[in-house]
Amino acid sequence: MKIIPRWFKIDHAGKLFPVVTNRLRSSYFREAVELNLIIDPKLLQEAANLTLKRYPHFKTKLTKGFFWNFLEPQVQPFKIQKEPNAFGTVSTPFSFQKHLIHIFYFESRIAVEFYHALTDGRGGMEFLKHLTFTYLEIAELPVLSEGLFSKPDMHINEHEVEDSFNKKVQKGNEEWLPSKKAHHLQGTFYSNIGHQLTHLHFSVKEVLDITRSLNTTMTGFFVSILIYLLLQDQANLIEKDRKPILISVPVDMRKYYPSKTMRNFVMTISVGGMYPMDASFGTILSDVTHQLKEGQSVNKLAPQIRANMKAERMLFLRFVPLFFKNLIIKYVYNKVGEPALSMTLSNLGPVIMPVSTQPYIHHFEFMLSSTYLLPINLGVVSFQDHLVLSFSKLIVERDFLIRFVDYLHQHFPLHIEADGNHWEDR
Amino acid sequence: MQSCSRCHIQLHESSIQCPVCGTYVHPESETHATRRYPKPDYQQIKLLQKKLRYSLLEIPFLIGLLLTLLVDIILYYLTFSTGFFMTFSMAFLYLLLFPTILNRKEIGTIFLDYYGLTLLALFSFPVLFPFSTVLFLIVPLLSTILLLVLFIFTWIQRRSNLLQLQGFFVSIAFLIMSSIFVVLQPTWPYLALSISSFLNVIVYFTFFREKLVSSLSRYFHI
Repeated sequence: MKIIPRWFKIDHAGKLFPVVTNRLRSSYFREAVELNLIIDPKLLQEAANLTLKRYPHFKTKLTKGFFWNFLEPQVQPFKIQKEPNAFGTVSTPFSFQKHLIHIFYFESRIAVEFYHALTDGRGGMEFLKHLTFTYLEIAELPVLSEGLFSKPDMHINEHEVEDSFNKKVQKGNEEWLPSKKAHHLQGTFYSNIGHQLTHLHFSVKEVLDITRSLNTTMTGFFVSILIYLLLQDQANLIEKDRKPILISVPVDMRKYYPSKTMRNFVMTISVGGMYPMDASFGTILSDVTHQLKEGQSVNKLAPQIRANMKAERMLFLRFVPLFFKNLIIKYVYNKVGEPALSMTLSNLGPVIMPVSTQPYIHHFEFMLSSTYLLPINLGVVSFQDHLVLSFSKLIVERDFLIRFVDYLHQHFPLHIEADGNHWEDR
Repeated sequence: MQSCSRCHIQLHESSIQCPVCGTYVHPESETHATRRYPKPDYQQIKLLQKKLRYSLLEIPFLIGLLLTLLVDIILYYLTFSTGFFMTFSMAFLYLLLFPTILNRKEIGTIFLDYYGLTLLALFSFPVLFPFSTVLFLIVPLLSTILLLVLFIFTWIQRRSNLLQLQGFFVSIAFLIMSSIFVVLQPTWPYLALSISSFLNVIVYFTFFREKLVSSLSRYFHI
């Protein structure tokens, strides 16, 4: 077995985040689990220490190198914190004494906030699952790992920290997708930068009954509703001012390549397009379902990954100092990256936990951070029959959320529960 | 469970307001609002505010620096006898106080900053003020002392790779700089600086070779 290095290169996708992070683009995401028991902070601190020992690349700090940023071990002790209602308020990833993840607790809830350069949603969820299991184990509850988790004293193996973009995606044809400016939601940003989080709770069975009757997937269903509502947003615009509505849907590449990496290994596809103003929900739904089916295939995604990695692999560009690389990356991202998207919907899918732990777990939540151009984003995750949609909103206006809930109520027989972080009440 | 009168969705028992539309569950709760979540911990925001306060403190300091420079220049043209010691000390204090102690950068950073300042002094002072003693006496002496301090810090904080790397580069830079001056105009302060920086480079190589190679590989990975 190879010796795991004491410092880590940032993976291909993660290299972007330290460059583009700013006041209105925190590049953090948060994943949470609501247990059926009250959290004991002392036990959680112990569980956090053990889990971080198991996954040392999460206990790192971001450092600037001459050609690239990199991660090196953070020697400052890790402390869990009481969960505030703030999310994405300040983002200072290069802080010398800070960790790139935060573990929070509140009543029966454990939340972990990750900086995106470290990992993606799936990697973060594996960490949270491991942390939850370790916590339950330390709390002396009768839980068994059932082969899902390794022991905390086990060392991380090289496959868990590999850059799968480099290791798994072989050379081949490349494809650059043209990007156009997409339609964006407008609004008034909160004076104290932070996200209003709204969690909508559904029954997985109820939603699946609907999606099956519509011959679509859960992602396809919610993406179609978002597009349909954004289309209504354009009602007052003249034809030439209208822009395509494109929803970014991250696709977990571990589905296509056998990878155990805990780093970023995700590719996004843009779903949607330019629809006529009188397009019905059914038309959008069938188009979105088709696009998702077409787009989520390795033959489509691998050439895009190769195209993205082309610049990084060029020998000449590798020797360009980081300062110049930052300028180029920032320019490209601000010109053709984010402007080409209207919103992000990230569906983590069902979370699998050992059967013995399930009685202690109520549900999971997944929250994305929003940005200046994408002021509302949506994270989706399910556990058993509990589906949670988490809207992260940077703007004061509530009408998009209201229309989303109203649309669901008016057209589908769904039972909805809601909760949030009450950001306005601060 | 409570529900929202407008959205008709169920809300958490402790909710006072619908998270979707903002309608208060009970009209009276609008005036007696309580939170489910604790008040946010604005530690990070406070840190930023603290930094801002420090920045404000920096302004009088910088004005002071400018004033001492002005006084030194006036003295220089009136008497031809100033050593720019006041200005140099003020700048040095500024570097020590603000970037390093208050903004909590690693101590090695100050040496890089100091090195920049020294270079500036070396290249600008001979042109502007040909008889300034700062060039020939104070700079190399302070540099020699700083190199020794840096080495001691590096020795104490062996875990800090950044510090070693900075120490290594600062030593090399000082060695080159002082060697040039020893050749051009041999003075004992520059000779002392050459010897101390040479020793530092040798020691860094000997004691921290493994760590240095690791540091270099991470800082210059492509």
